[in-house]
Amino acid sequence: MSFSNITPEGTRDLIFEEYDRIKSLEDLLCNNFEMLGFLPIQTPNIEFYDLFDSERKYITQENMLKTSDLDGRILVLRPDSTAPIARAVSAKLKNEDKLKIYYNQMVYKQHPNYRAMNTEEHQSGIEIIGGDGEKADLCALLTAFQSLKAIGKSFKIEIGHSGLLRLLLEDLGLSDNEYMRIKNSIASLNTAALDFGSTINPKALEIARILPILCGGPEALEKARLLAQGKEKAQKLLDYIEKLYNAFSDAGYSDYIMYDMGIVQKIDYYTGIVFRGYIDGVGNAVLSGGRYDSLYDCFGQHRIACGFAINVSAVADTFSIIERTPGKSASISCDGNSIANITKEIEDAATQGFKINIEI
Amino acid sequence: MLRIALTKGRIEKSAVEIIKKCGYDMSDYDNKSRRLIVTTGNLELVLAKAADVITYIERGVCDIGVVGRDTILESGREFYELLDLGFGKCRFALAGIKGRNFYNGYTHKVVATKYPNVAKQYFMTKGIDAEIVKIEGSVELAPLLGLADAIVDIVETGTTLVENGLEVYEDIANISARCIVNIAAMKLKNQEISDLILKVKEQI
Repeated sequence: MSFSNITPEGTRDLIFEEYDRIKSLEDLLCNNFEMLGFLPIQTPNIEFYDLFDSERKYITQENMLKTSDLDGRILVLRPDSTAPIARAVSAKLKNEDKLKIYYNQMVYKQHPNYRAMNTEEHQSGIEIIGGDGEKADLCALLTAFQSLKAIGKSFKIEIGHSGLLRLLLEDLGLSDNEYMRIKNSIASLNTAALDFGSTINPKALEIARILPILCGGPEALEKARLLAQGKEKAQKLLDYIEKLYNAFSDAGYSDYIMYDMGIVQKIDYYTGIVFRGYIDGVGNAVLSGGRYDSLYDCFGQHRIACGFAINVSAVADTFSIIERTPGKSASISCDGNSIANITKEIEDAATQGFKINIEI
Repeated sequence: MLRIALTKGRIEKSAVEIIKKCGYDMSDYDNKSRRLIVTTGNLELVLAKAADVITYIERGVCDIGVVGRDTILESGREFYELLDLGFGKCRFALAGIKGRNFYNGYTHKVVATKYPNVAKQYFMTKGIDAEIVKIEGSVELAPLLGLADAIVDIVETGTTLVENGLEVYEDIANISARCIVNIAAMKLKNQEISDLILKVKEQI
């Protein structure tokens, strides 16, 4: 079999307008980040596997694309930008106590075959390190709203809290294993899996079934408050997301914001608010983020942080291809023209703002 | 406009009954002939194979799907499972030759099934490293021919098992038709979907 004409599963060539489509979206998002005071960063495509193999294994081993270096150490193609940025910030930006960073780079994740999922994904996103937690949350959410609004499709952003599930299940006598099973099943929306040999406390199973579908407006919050009856810590946490929700809905964003009490992560990676964004035409979240105050502990520092990433590849696919317009351009032949002559023509074209096509 | 994927066959018939009871005019469906997409009011019905219903919902080309829980459990994909529609009831069970104890002894266990993911997940939660063999047709043959110690399969009445000298060792999970919803549709079309779910709930 010859592999010379095909690309690996989940990858693609971006030819002409298809590249333009990604590029213009990236420019749009990055300009937006710049305008809101974020500074750019780029990290290597390849990192040590260990960086993503911390206690908080938020990307599973089987999803990472691995290779090894000449010393036999395992390397991965970056499956995410947050950990590499945390590494870079911890090592090189120790003295900056408040940082607003944006990035625009590929991430690589393997998926099962034949699901039309990208192995390579163009991602643009932000990280806010340090500062006041609440102000930073508001800043991250505002940036998320501005970003999706700029894309120009109908959209929704939902907010939830990563700590809610644990607090709701707190005094139900679950073993660690049972808690993990419930958490994983909610995170992957696969509550059906809880059917297998269930000896789990029925109250906990009830919560596992209700929580994922608790999304919507203030009525979703009310239902969550009922689930959290008598649990002071859970109520406080709900107070906080209500405050954020109200801040945005009062500002005229009520059609674009909703609660989602079912946002649960497989690993305890997020430590505060979590949020996701959806746009018309994509079947899954295109924006996802939250607060992750303990990630920097892995690098021996205590810094609070939050951020989000936008799946630019998925967003791009919702836009139709726009054909390039030729614009003002001129042609010049190498035949009978000296290089000096051609160079002059190029300079003239540049000052007059048109393209010059050197014929081949 | 909501796009609903229905699993062709028995599930489709029962689902259409419910949609009719909800007050939708189904004349376009009744005259559908071989068309795979029919419209009724603000609903667009798509007729597909069970596993494809899951794919269309996960990818978001359909908003709501009606599919058996057997297919959901086997797929392991991500979407909301909103409602047990109560029809198409059966169960997943571990079965094998009558009178034997599957868990006896220290021998390596082989399990034949059409649902390798369900079987794998089940034995993983039990902490047993059973070997799973994928069979496409009548799974009952595998223990009879000595290929497997047991099977994991859908059991409705159990008649096929009995007639072949097999019996259910234990039940694994209950199955019935479920209403599933795409993740993004759940947010972007929340109101429309909630309204429909409410109507359907009154009919089941």
